[in-house]
Amino acid sequence: MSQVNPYLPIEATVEKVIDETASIKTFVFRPKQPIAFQTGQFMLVTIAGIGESAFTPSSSPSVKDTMEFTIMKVGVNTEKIHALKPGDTVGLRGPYGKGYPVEKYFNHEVLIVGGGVGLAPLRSLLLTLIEQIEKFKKITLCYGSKTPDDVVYKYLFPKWKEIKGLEIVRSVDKCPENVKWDETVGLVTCLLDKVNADRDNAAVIVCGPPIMMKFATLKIYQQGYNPENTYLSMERNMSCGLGKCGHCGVGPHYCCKDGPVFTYEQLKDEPEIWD
Amino acid sequence: MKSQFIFKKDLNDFLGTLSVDNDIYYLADNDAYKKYSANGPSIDISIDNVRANLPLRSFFFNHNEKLDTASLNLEKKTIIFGVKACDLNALKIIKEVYLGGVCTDPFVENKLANTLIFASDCPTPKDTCFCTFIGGNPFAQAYENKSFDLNFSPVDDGYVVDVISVVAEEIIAQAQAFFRDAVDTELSKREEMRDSAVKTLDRINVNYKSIKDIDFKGLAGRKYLSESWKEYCKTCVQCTGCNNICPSCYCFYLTEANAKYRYWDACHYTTHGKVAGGGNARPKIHERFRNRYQCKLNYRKTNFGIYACTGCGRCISVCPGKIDIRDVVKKLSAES
Ligand SMILES: Cc1cc2nc3c(=O)[nH]c(=O)nc-3n(C[C@H](O)[C@H](O)[C@H](O)COP(=O)(O)OP(=O)(O)OC[C@H]3O[C@@H](n4cnc5c(N)ncnc54)[C@H](O)[C@@H]3O)c2cc1C
Ligand code: SF4
Ligand code: SF4
Ligand code: FES
Repeated sequence: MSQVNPYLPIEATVEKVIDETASIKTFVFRPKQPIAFQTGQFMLVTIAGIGESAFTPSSSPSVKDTMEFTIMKVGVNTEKIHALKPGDTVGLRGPYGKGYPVEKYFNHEVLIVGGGVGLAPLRSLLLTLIEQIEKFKKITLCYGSKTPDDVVYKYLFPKWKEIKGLEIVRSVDKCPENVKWDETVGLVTCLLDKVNADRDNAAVIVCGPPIMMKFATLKIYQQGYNPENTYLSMERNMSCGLGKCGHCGVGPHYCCKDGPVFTYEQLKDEPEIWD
Repeated sequence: MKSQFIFKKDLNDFLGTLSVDNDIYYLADNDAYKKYSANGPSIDISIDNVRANLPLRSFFFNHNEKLDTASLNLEKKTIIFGVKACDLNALKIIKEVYLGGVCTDPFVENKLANTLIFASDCPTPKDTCFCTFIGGNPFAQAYENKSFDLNFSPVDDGYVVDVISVVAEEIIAQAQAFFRDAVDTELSKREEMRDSAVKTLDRINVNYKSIKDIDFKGLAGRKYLSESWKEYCKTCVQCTGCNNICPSCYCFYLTEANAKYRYWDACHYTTHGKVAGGGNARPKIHERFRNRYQCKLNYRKTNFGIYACTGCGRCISVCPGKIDIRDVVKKLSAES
């Protein structure tokens, strides 16, 4: 038996680091061998001797040689990751889980609802959709951040706003007086009242912090969107990424192997999925 | 191959011949697996007690295990002698998780491939045993034939031996001097012994008659939101004993040092569901307590069609809070 060790990562070099906000950076990694993935699938990033954390690439799968990750500094690993400089190395293993079934969205409207760093996986999806935008009736992005400073990919929005077939509405929870913001002030859920989507047929994709996921999903459900077309990125503690270590349970499902993208239909009858 | 018979007095020599090529662990009187040594004095081997305290899975994935494929396949074969049916049933869960799914875990696979399991009957179940109340039996059956190689059933002054696997057939062929075909009276005595063990289990569990072979999955699911979990876990001190001793628990976490290591984890730890930023899937004691019941009775049954509780009773013996899974299930089922 000469077996592959599924727990061992592939080495990758840090090629570029982009500051997004005070606590979020985007990293461009170049793995030794290209790693093919589907948008929405995630990777485990290893910092040698420290630990591993799950992140969803924020780049499009059509970019083969490099992979980007947009990462918020929140604890031990992410602090080490934030200290990385071009030329440093990390480990990558994956891709894991089930991503977004993009083909299912063909000929439909797509409504994307994101909050905070939750825009990272959604950017990968958005880039994938933009590459073939003629295949969708309409794409709408609702994006909420805490303040205008907390908006990630600030430099991409001007370009995105010019794309035909893509509508973008944004909100901030609050806006300090000396900061310019001429879009909505309020929670991301209030943007859902502003968009005009085909509730029976639109694919709705939600990703963000747990509290936002909860209220956005419930609102989407109340507004009559179809739970079978509502896709949620669930976040759970993860270790193996392979459905073995038992950490990432959502009811009988494992987030790493059955998710991280679930339809609301799959989860809506499981008690206490948000808490 | 026909069922065989071996005299008790020959067991030691039989193991002696096998110990040349294999590391042998046998179920000893103190409910522990003891390493067999051919050099020591001839020992009186009795494998008739109930399951060892150590769960069988300890042989297949260890606490603090280095996950290095270079170490694979170098091991001597291991024979575990005196494995009980409850642990074989739990092994099915371990196999589903580690060998099935998105990929095979090469470390568990390697150990399983290098291990021979000699099962044995439980003629005298003890007060914590309830295998027959949750779909099991106090003896291993041939339909589980992928799980074990030989089975030993005590009859008179020896054992009736079922030969299940091809490897086991070879072993018996080579050790022919110790075996002969079992005769009909021995086989019927075995049936009597087994019936009596089943009756003993009914007697032991007379207070739990109302939950014998009920739909545990349906019950656990229906009672998920019951307020009573808070009461049932009142004496739980979160020691994780019930997790660590359970033959079907499989949670682990990986750590990074100079290599990857795997440690056993337990869902009673607060950290099990904890994520950065203060979030936790199960922050409260009753939520973690309930999770173990949901895992054993509901979730894994949903995934694999089998319960992850096999009635071995270890969690009952180990619990400092005197929590008995049978009581919890009985109370749950009595709730309106
Ligand atoms: C599928 C998936 C995709 C993710 N994508 C992104 C992303 O694109 N960008 C981003 O900034 N964050 C993402 N996260 C969250 C990210 O994994 C955590 O923020 C990160 O693990 C925190 O690690 P830490 O060591 O800094 O935190 P600590 O609190 O010090 O965590 C210690 C350990 O706990 C585990 N852990 C802690 N928090 C989480 C968590 N939220 N989810 C899973 N495991 C956790 C990890 O194994 C980590 O090593 C994602 C999480 C999941 C499950
Ligand atoms: S053995 Fe008892 S006290 Fe310990 S964690 Fe389990 S239920 Fe709680
Ligand atoms: S839950 Fe308890 S009785 Fe059931 S298999 Fe595990 S340790 Fe044995
Ligand atoms: S991360 Fe190990 S089971 Fe999902």
